[in-house]
Amino acid sequence: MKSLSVFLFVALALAVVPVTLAAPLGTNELAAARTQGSNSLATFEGLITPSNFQLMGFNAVAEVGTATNGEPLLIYTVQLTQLAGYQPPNNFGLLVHPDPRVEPAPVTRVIVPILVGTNVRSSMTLRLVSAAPGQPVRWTNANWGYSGLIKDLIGTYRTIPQNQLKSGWSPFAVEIPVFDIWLIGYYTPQNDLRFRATSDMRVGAVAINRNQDISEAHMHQMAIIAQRYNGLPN
Amino acid sequence: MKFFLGLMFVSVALTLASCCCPPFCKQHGRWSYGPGPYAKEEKTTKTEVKEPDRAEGSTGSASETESFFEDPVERPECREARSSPQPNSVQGQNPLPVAPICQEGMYSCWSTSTEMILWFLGGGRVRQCDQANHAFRSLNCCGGNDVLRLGNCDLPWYPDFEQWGYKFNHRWAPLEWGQATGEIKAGRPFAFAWARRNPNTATAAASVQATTVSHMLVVIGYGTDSLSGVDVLIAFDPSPVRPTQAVMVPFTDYDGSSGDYTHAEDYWSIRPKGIE
Repeated sequence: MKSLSVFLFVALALAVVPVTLAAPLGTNELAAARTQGSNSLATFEGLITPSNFQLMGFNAVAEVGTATNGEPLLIYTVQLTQLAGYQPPNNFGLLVHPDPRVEPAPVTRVIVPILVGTNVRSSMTLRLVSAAPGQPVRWTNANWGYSGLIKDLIGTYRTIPQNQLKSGWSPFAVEIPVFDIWLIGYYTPQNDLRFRATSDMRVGAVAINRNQDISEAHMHQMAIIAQRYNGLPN
Repeated sequence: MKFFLGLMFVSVALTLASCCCPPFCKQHGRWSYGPGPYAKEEKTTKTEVKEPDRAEGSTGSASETESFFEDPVERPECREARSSPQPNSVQGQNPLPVAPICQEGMYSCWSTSTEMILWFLGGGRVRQCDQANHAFRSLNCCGGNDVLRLGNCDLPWYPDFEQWGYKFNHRWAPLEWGQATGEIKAGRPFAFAWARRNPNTATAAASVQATTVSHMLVVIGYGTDSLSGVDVLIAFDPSPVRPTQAVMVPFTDYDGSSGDYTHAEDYWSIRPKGIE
């Protein structure tokens, strides 16, 4: 009986106590990501040639030598099965993986803007390499480029007023791999999870404008289309 | 009596003509099964329609069907594509100057990749809607602006280079580094598909039923960082919501050895029929 009481108390406490809403990377993970970001930028510099610098978003070959890394943007994912099963008015939080409320953020991918001065030129994506227990975390290169995507992400990020953000929280990237759609996610001071479009898009018969908040109806339309995914290349 | 019968015949003929022409035909005066105007100019070879031998996709939603016969909207940034050079002028270039064509549907990366490659190789502009017409045995996938209609015309599928006059090699295993770079040196971009393995699996991986999503890209170049020794492929990555972008991917991701992606397939050595 006593153990049952303890169990009920713990269960009640877990249900009532609000989950801390914060998604910074752990200190070690962030430091490791920044270190790898520096290494990855050096590698990128070694890959840039007079023939490919424009494709990678630079205005001149020499620009990459002056480039610096911006703050990493954490990447969360809306996986196909979660999206296809979405029913309004379900909370968007149920779609996102990993749980964005967990601290430190258990993400395994970050996208880092590459800046020339204060201008976004290109990006690199880093992914966390599974570390053995007791070993320091390690990140590695996942890709470089996507100059249009990173400009869209940062552009939308900057449209969110500070007073619409939950204190201590930063917006993050949300990827929907089945469509290759990228959104910016953020928590409001009321703990509402919002998604904002980073580009104009047409989802079925619905048009969504860049920087527009994604509604439940928009997400439902995406869910309907996601249900048609048949496993072949898209 | 003859006059009456003649009048009846003409009336029936006019009635049939007005009813049997589908909306897109009425709107655009077009009743042809074939490639878009650009492809016609380039004398693209076509063969008869084949029975699809892949899994059939399901039907589109009601809300998508409502807009099916409207002209699809073409994104402004996609209206102008760069002119594509002839292949004999690009051998030795790295990356190859392939035109980054926009993906018009949510699921049309396969036809976007095909369109980019064929246009670059001189096979004409084989529009995504024409490929969808062929793949899904339809006549209605092209809007008046030759942009892909959505709904049943917008499904994942496979490239069919043979249909458009080109031979190709296909393999499920990734190309070796020498083969991949050899394709670029020969002036031949190639397509590959991959699937990312369980993104974000640091925690709670077991609770997530991640269905893999396969995506196709076009490889247009390669590079090596001499200091780190990192080999990369340069690829065009089509997206339904923004212009096709270039990305450098580590060769170890392309071939699946890094563990982050599962390699799916390659369409390579794409060349006109008659050239071995």
